[in-house]
This record gives sequence, C-alpha cells and structure tokens, in this order.
Amino acid sequence: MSEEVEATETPPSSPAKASPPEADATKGASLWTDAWRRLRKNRVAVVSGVFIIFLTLFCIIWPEVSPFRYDDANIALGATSPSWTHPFGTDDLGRDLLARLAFGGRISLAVGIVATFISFAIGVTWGGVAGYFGGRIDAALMRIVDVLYTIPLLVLVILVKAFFANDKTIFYRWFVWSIGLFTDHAKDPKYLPLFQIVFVFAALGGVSWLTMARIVRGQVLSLKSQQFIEAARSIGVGDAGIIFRHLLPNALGPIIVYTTLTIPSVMLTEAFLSFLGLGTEEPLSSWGLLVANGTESLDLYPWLTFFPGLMLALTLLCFNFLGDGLRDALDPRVRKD
Amino acid sequence: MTNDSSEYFGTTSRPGKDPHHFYANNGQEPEYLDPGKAHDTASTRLIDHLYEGLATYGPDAEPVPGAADSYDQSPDNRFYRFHIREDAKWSDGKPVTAGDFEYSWKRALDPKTQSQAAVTLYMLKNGELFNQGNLKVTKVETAVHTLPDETSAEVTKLSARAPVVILGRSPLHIDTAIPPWAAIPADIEGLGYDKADLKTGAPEKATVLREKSSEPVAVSADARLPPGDYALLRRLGPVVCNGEPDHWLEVEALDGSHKRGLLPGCMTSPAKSAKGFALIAKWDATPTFHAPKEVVPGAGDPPKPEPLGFVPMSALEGDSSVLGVRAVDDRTLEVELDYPVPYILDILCSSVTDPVRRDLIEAFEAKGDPDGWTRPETILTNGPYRLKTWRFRYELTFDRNPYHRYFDQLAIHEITWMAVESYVSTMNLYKVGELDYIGDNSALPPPYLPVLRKKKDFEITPSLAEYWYELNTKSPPLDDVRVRQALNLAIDKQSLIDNVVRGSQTPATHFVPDFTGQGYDKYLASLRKSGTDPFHGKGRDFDPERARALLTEAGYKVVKDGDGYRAEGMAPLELLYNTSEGHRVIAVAIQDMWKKNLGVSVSLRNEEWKVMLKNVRDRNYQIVRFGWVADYDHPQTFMDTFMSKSPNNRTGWANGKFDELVQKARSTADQNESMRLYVEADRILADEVPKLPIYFYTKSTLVKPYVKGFHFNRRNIQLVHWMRLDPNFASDPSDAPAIEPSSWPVPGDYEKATP
Amino acid sequence: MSRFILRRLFSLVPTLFLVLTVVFVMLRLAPGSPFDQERSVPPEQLAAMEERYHLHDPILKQYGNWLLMIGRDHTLGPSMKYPGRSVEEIIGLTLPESMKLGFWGLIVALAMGIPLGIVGAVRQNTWKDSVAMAAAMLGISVPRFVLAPLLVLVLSLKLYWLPVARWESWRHMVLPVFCTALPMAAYIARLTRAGMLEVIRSDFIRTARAKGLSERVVIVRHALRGALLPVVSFLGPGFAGMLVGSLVIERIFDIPGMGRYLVEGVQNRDYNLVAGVVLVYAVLLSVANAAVDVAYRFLDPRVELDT
Repeated sequence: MSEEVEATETPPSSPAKASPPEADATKGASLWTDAWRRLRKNRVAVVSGVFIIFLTLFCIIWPEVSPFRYDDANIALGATSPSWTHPFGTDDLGRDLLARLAFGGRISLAVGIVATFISFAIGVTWGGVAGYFGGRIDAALMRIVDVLYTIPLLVLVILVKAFFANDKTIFYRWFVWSIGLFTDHAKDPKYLPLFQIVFVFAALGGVSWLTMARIVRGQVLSLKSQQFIEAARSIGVGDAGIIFRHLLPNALGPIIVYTTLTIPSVMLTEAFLSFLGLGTEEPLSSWGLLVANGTESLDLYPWLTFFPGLMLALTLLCFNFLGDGLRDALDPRVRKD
Repeated sequence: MTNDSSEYFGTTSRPGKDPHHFYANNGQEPEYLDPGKAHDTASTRLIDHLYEGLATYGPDAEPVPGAADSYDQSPDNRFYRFHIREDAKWSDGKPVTAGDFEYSWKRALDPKTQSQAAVTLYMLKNGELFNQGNLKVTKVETAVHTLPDETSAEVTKLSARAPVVILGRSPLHIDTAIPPWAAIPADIEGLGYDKADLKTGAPEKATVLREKSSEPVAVSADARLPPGDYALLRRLGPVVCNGEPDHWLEVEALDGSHKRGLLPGCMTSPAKSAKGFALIAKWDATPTFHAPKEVVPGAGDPPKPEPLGFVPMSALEGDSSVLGVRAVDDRTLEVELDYPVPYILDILCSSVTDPVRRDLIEAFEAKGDPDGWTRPETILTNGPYRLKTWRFRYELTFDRNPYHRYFDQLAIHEITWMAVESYVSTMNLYKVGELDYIGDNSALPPPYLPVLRKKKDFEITPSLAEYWYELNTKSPPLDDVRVRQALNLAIDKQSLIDNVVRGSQTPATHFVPDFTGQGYDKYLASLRKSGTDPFHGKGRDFDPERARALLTEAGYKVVKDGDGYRAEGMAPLELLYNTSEGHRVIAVAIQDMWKKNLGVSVSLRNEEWKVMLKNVRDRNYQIVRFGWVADYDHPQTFMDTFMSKSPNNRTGWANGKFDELVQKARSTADQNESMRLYVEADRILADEVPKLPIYFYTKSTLVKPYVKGFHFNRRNIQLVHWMRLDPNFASDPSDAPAIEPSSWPVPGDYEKATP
Repeated sequence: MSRFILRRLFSLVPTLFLVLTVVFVMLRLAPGSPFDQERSVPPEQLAAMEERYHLHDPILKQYGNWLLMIGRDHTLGPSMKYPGRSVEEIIGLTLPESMKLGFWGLIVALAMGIPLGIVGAVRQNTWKDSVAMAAAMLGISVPRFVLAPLLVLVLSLKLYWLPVARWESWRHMVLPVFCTALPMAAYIARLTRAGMLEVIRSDFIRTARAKGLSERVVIVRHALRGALLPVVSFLGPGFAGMLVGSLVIERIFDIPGMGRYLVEGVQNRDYNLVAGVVLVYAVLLSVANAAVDVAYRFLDPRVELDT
C-alpha cells in the first residue's frame, strides 16, 4: 500500500451501477479500436505516453553512453551546481547527478512496472476466480485478501528484507542459481543490492495485488450475470473459457486503468521506503532515494532535490494522465462536452 | 539559503522563554533512569544530572567532589575510603548514606540485575567474578528456604540448581520469648556470658568465641532481632538455661531478612507455624572462588568460565570482605580494588557508581514491577535536579532538588530534554531558538558543516573516541597481517576527513588518542619533542605503494589494470556497516580507495543494527564498522577492547605479549612507566592492525552565545549544573560557571586515617 | 442494518487473529534478538535475558503463552526495548497523537478536496477546471517527505510564521496536518470530480434542473450525494494509509505518534510492541472499512450490502 494513498480510484463503472459492456466478446475488436481512436485524440494522454517512452529509452541508453558512471565517486570534487560537464550537478560524493538519475530511472521504472505486473498477474487470476466461482471459494480467497490487507506494508517489507535479502538464506541461493544461468558472476557480492531490490519489488507487488483482486472480483461479479455469459455457457464453453475469454476481456477496461494508475503508486511507495532506508540502497540509486537524500540538504544544494523530484513528479503525472486518458477512452459515457 | 551574514547561526534571543529554563536535545529516549542498568549515553547523560555519585564531572569534566567531600587512599592505589558529606540528601529529604552506595554497587554487579554497565565496577575486588556468576561466598554456608509444605517442588528444584545438600527440615516456628542476639558470625564455637539472669530477662552481655581464634568478641544487648518466626539451624555450645543444662541454638529469621541469631534453647517454644516449614540447605563443597581457566594466548576464543550458579544477594549481606566495597558506617565507604586504579575519581563520576534507594527498589520488586520505580511520581534521586515530567519519546523535564546543597546556587532551575532524532530538525530548532545547544547527543548534518564553521557559535573539539573497522582475523585472507597492513596503508585518511567526514578529525594510525589524559598526553608530547614518534612515519601513514608491495608479498600480486590496479587472486571482501547515512558515505569512499589504490574490490553490505550485531556475534563478517568512546580518561579503556579475554574483542585476535604489557601497565604505580608500557602496547596494535584505525573523533558543537559555563572538553561532558544563561553576553564575555565546585582536599593515608 | 454492522464487526475477529499469527511467526523467525547491543553482552547474560522472556521456548509454546497473556491477563505484554513500559501504555500514549494528526488531516483533506473537485466538474474544461486538476495532480506527484522540508524551509525558517517542529500548540499542528492532508486532498478532488461528472449527466439531475431549482441547490442537495460515493469508498484505505504514512511526518516534525513503531519495532525485534501496533492498525483499518461500507449504503440506497 502506498504511503501516500491507496489508488482505489473507482474504475469507470462501480459494481453497483454496472452497465452492460459496449460489445460482447465477438465484437471485442471494435471496442479496442474505438478506444484507441479516442485515446489518440486525447492530446495530453498522447504526450504523456510519448514522454514515458522517451524517458524509458533515455534511462536504458544514457548510462551506457554517459562519460560518468552512476557510482563514480570523486570525493575531492564534492557537490557542485549544474555546469557544462555536469548538466545536473554532482552530489556530495562527487557523482554526476544526471548519470545517477538515468540509472535510477531504470530502477524506479523497473520497480513500478515489475511490481505492477506481479500485482496484475496475481490479482487478476485471484479476483477472477473468486468472482466467478463465488460462494465458499470466493469467501476463502477474499478472506486471505483481507488478512494480508491488514498487515502494514512496512512491517512486511522489513521482515521480507531481514529474511530473504540475507545472503545466508535459501531464497538467496535460489536467486544466485537463477542468475547464474545468465552470467558467470552470480556470486559476485556486488549483485547483493540488486537482489535486495528484487525482493522489494516482490514485497511491493505482493501487496498491491490485493486491491487489484478486489476490483477484478467486483467487475466479474457484476458481469457474470449478464446475458452474454448465459449465452456462452449455453453453447457449452467451460469455466476456464468463460473466465479467460469472455469475462476478463470485458472487465479489462477498468483493470487496465487501475494498472496504469498503480505504477505511480508503487513508485511513490518505493520512494517512501527509500526515505526510510528500507528500499533502494547505496550505491544503487533510484529517484526515490535521490530525492530522499536531497532533502537532507535542501537549502544548500537544491539541485539534488529539484531534478530527481522533477523527474519523479513528471513521470507520475504522465502515468496519471495516461491512466485518465485510458479511462476516458474506454468509457465513452464520460464525454467532454 | 543559509548564507545569512550574521555571525551566529540563527537567533540569539529567546523571546518568551524563562531565563532560568534550559532547553537541550537528548537525541533519543533514555532506556533506563536507573544508574545500575543504564549504559547508553541518552540515559547516562540524564542520570548525571539526577543523581550524584561520590564524584561528579566538573565544568571541565574533571572529577570534583560530589556526594563525598574527602577521601583517604593507600600508596598503591588499591584501597580507598570515602567520606560522605553531611548534607547529602535524597529528593525526599532522607540522608544519603554509605549503605546506599554499597547496595547500589552490589546490585549493579549482581548477575540477576543483568546490568550492562557492570563492567565499570570490575575494578572492585571480586567484582568481575561476582558479576559473571563465578563467586561463591565463603562464610555463609547454609541457606534457609521457607516452603509451603514438605512436598513442594522447591525441594527438588533447589538441589538441581546448585550443588547443595539438604541439611534438615526445621519445625519452622520458634517463638522466642526473648529475642536472639543478632549479627553473630556463623563460625562460632562457643558462647559464654558474664551475667546471666534468664529468669528476669536476657543477659546483658555475652561473649562469643570464634572458631579460629580464642579472642572473645563482645556482643552487646542492642544487637537483637525482633521476636517472631525462626528456623533452627544448628545447636552450639552448652549453656545453663533456667537452671537446666541446655544448648545455644543458631536460628535464622524467616521474615525474609535472613538474619541469624543465637539464643539459649529454653528461650524458645517450638510450635508449628501456619507458614509451612523451613528447608535448610548447605553448599556442597568447600567454598572457594572458581576463576575461569587460564587463557592461552593465540589459542582462539577465550574459554567460557563455568558459572556455578547465582549467589543470593542475602548471602553477601554482612559479609563485606567478599566484594571490595563496604559501608563502615552511614558516612564512610571503604573500597578495595583488584588492581591499582589511579584514575578512580574519574570512574566514580560515571553513572553506574551513583547510589540508589534500596527501600524503593525492593518495594517495586516485591510488586513484580522491577523497572517501574523510575517514574516521576515515585523516583528518588540525590542529584541537584529531580525528575519533574516524562513524556514518553518526546521530552523529559527536570527541576531543582530542594534538598540538594546547590539548590540556591543553581542558575538553571528547569531543564527540558527533547528527543528529536532527525539531525536537520534539531539544527532547525536551534536556529529558531528552541534549543540552546546541540552537542553530545545529537550530531550536525555533515552537508551543513562548511556553512556552520563560519559561525561564532560553532566549535570543533577533539573527542576521546575513535572510528575503526574491525577485521575478522580468523577469516582468510585477513588472517595474514600483511594483508591487514596493506588495507590500512591504502586508506587516505586525511582525504577522507577533508572531503567526506569534514569535521576536522584527526587521522588515526593507532588506538589511544594522543590527547588522552592522566599523563598520557604529556608522555607522548615529551617523546615527540625528543625526536621519536611511535605512531607516524613509514609503515604507519598513508602509503599506497607500500600497501601494494605488502599485498604482493602476501601472495596477491598487484598489477596495473587500466588506470587502476587489480590484486590477482584476491577474492572480493565484504564490508559490513549498520544502516546509516554517515557510515554509508565513509564506506563508499573507502571502497573506492581500496579499488583505486590497491586493486582490491570490496562489496558493501549494510544491515539494520540488530541483524548486524547478531552476525558479528556469530563471527559472520569480514570487515565491520565499529568504534569506541572512552569510558574514562585513561588509555586502559581503549586497550580493553583488544585484550584476548575481553567481550569487546570480536576480532579473534589475541596476542600474549600485548596482554602482558597492558596488565603490567595497569598495575604499575609509576605513571610515566605506565604510559610507556601503554605506548609499547599500542605499537603492537599499530603493527598488527586487528582493527583498522580510521580517525579520532571530534565533536562539532553549536552553542548559543548566551550560554555561559559551557566548557569544551575532550570528554564532551557538560553538566547543566555549571551553566547559566546570560542575556548580556555581548557585553560580558566571561565564561565562568554558575557555581564554583569545591576541590578535593589532600587525600589522607588509608592506613593511618581513623575510619 | 444493525445486523449488518454486527456481522461485519464479528467477521473482524478471525481476520485479526490470522493477521497476528502471521506477524508473530515472521517476527520470531527473523534473525536477530531483541537484546543485542553494541557493548558486547556476555553470552550468558544474553541467554539469561532471552530466557526471561521465554525466547528459547518452541514457537508454538511462545504463541500459546502470548495468547494466554492477552486473553487472561488482558495485557499486550512488556515492551522489550523500553523497560518498565507495557505495550498498551506505549500505544495509549502515542496512538492519540497519530489519531489527532490523522483526523485533522482527513477533515482538511475533505475540506480542500471536495470543493476543488466540485469546481472542476461544474466548470469542466474551463481554466478553473484545469487549474484545479493541475493542483490535484501536483499534490499526488510530490511526496510528503519533499513537501514537508520545503514548507518548513519557506514558512518556518525564512518567514518565521510557523514552528519548525515539535507538537505543542495548534500552531505546531498546521504544517504537519497540511502535509498529511495534501496528497489525500488531491485524490479526493479527482474522485469528487469524476463522481460528480457522472452524476451530473444522469436523469434525475436533469429532472431537478427542469424543475427550476437553482444550480447551487441542484449540486449540493442532489448531485453531491451520488458524487461522494467514490470518495467514501476511498476513505477507508485512505485513512489507514495516512496512519502509516504519518511515519514520515512524525519523523520530520518530531511528533510522538505511533507510526514509528511500525519500523522501529521490527528493527528492534520488539515482538510485543509490533504485535500490539499491528493489532491496533488492523482494528482501525477494519473498522474504517466497515464504516465506509455503512456510509456507502446510506448515500446510495441502490447499493446491495455485500455479505
């Protein structure tokens, strides 16, 4: 759960006021092309989407071509304000802020996307099954969601870290083994911070799927009594088929919107955790960590807060605009006069 | 931006604040306000104000008379006698007695108290043995336990817990018509008396004959126990009682005081009591002290001493020759030490030696709430201040103790101690005038140091503390001293200090700070004046070339790799530190230095405090960040952490010669010779580097110009007693303390002085 | 209705039980002991301290003892880090401060967010809408731990209008409450606007307008109820999230609240304290959710109460 707020913005149609989907499964293609057309017309959303893509590419490419590495310390230099060599200045260890921002962007975006993906995968399956089968299965599954919901995020994260991110535990060994499939240097201790981050992803993703599950369940519940489902069942489509080919695609609209809005929420949570020292750790950087470190010397070296904060805020804004745009595109009742 | 051109940092006036009210930040919530248990500075700093030990830190942190106003000492610095002043009083008006000190010290050393500050009192005779549970008491051999009935599980539990033999089961109640004499040693052989008139009352006097000597000891009639329930321990010499031959009986009181006494047999009326019966047990072996086995240097972990079980506090009562502290009378305390401690006055300022009130603590222990007595409503203290309010995790306030002799002279009448943890918030609070100083328990945020340095209210002083990295000398390649030396020589400590830590610290090549007192600083200065410097020069200061040579010699060839180096065959090392911004920054810098200068790659691991401590305890580390703050102003406190038997030596390093040197240095009465030995020992450390010395701390302090009596010193101890707030600071620059402390009279001679 | 409330509250119990069990087990299994200190404690002493709290008993036995302690002795146990203080005492001292912060934060968030959302909806696509929504977006995108030092810098250190930190008078509450409220207000504004937009187009509003009622009455008396539905459903988790998020505010402003124990308690392995705080948190969250469901039903009688 985000430190800031749980992004439980209601999807376009709340369960109570469900309206029939625009088209049934066979006409799904035109729903999506319709939505896409509408989205393209929404300039703000388009600009946001383009910006996000550009930013992602930048974060992937820049650290490779930059003259400075993100962890290149130059202690004698210390903190300097923006200049030609260092367009965003340097931090108190003399590291180039632009390089750290770009590298940090990789981590922040990765955290956002991976955690959201995890939450999407788990949440959709969980909520879909619960909503469709109803009855005791629903009750049991939702009970588990309730229990996990009630455990404070922070407690979970610290415990996960103490447990898994310790190089003596079995999870770590699994991880080394799986990394070892890709590289020779799996045992290199410099990977340890990366492992710790991955577990933070897992923890974050492992928490935000809860609300996703609830939303999906709500959608499925409201859709499941619709006529087209009856029709599909009468043809003889099995349970799995109904869930995955008929229900979910129609519920997908709000799900997509919520997913897009989860990304900024997760990124903010990561920033929050980094501020507390529980998230990304040195020498890695993430926007959250950069901002958190920057606020320690806000009036002395304002650029250390300003640029990461700006980057974070812009990204969050773009994801929010994109989410809004998607919502508008998928639910045409909300028309702009 | 914080670039005001004003010469002070922030405001220098305090609108709306009482000029006798002082505001300080204690940094953290104190763990205990109980002198016997407190060991963190957040607690001890408060205790230094609430309680007063035999000595107190003066305005320059020198020990000045506290509850004691004079003392006698023996020439070999092992025996001391302190005289408690007449006007020493608790916050409820009761006088402070030597017995309060004796109780407090014994309680702190008692293993049951589980005090983590007990180490300070190990100087007392048998202090260490007692605290580690290895002490068995000689003279009192039998113990009496009151049980509900004969079949209680206690019976078997007792013999399981300690080597005891059940002596007997007494028919509990002995109703004494005439109270027994008390305070009679257990090893008596017989009893005679001058006057006996047992028909009308107890004899006025009796003579006791001790087992080992035939010298009679007079027992006066005042020494009596109250009538009541007693258990029969044993029968002693013959006596004629009411005309009939009878025996003396030794009995023990069953009211929990465990007091023993004697009375003639016919004076008792053995009847059953409702309470049950008394179980009399005797320690099984000839009581001796079981010391830990001899330590063999270099043999690895020091062997664990075998505990024989905890000795009940009551067993020590009245038997003051066991532990080296005894209250001779209400105002005289005698102290016997295991080894000479010339700096004892300094130790007597520390909080664990402060007195506590036995009646208060025992009342709470009986209620099952042993830590509950430190609340403002119930706490009793004897210092110049007392506890007024305590808002958990927020602030504590003190006001003056009306019974303390300084009451009229204190310039500060109230103190508010905040518990702000964020450095930046603390700095801001100081800036707007909510805090009067930032010092001992708070640090200043490093990025602001360059700005703060320019202000007049900022001061940097050297501090008796060191920052170091401990090495696990059992884990290769760190078991090779050349590798350790290479690591040490590859760190550019001055650059670290100038660019990263930025507090004008002193780079360290050894382990006892140069400015340590008690003659150390003078000795070192004289050495240097004569041309030799034991701690600088080749093999000590930053020397990357030599470092590379050493590493190559140790088998890890250092070759050029681009514009850096690479140490062949050397696996990456791991540096562990607890999660904190300050440690991170230093670790990153050193990691970089080792890579650039030595070609050794090091990974950084940070863990939260508890996990790190556990890992260190389990020897699950290679390099770990630690440090040490001096407990007292003498080299011994630093050397202690390298002794092979010390619990604070986690490195696995042990060196017999070093141990020997330190032992000798400690027992040598000649100060100069002692310091010479300490320097010798420190040279071994600088050569062997089981820990990498990084720097000696400095303390950065911000103090408002209107605070007077705040003297900078290397202990960073400034007690509020001596301070005053002077709004006319601009015109009156004197920094005299509010009260002039008294000074110690010349110590008397222990042997000759009358107790 | 009351049956529903009772049923909801009743279903809290097994949930709470499970939550506490999970946390209990994870805490005990995490490496590290409550009693590790920097000055090395002799292993015997460490063992003795752990013994006193029965930390070497098998986990099931510890669990049983702990349940007994709550059920029979009605206490949450002593805190291991703060001797002489029981967990319920600590919670009793710090929870009210967190609640004060949370409660006023909520009020301020509603007071700022709802009007802003209404303006945005009613003046959709005008400059007022854009400004309102831009402000909301900003509120969502700027983390609290950036906002707080920034405001302190400007308002306290430069302008001397407000105190820098601490928790004494109403003036000390202004900045912390504002920082707590702002992100929530932003979300509320957006939700209100979205909800309002939906409602405004519906039939019964058109009817109300046709009847000749003034715009203001239409909005406030009729549309608002429906518009607030998404806000209400957000309040439950929002309030809980605020309690957790107050940790940041508490740290920056030195407020003696309960939030810090979520982190410190776990880091100190103060088992009892963590259990107590998690329990309180769980109860608050569950009660908040239940209250939200009930409020939802009041606002929209068409909603079926979930079983």
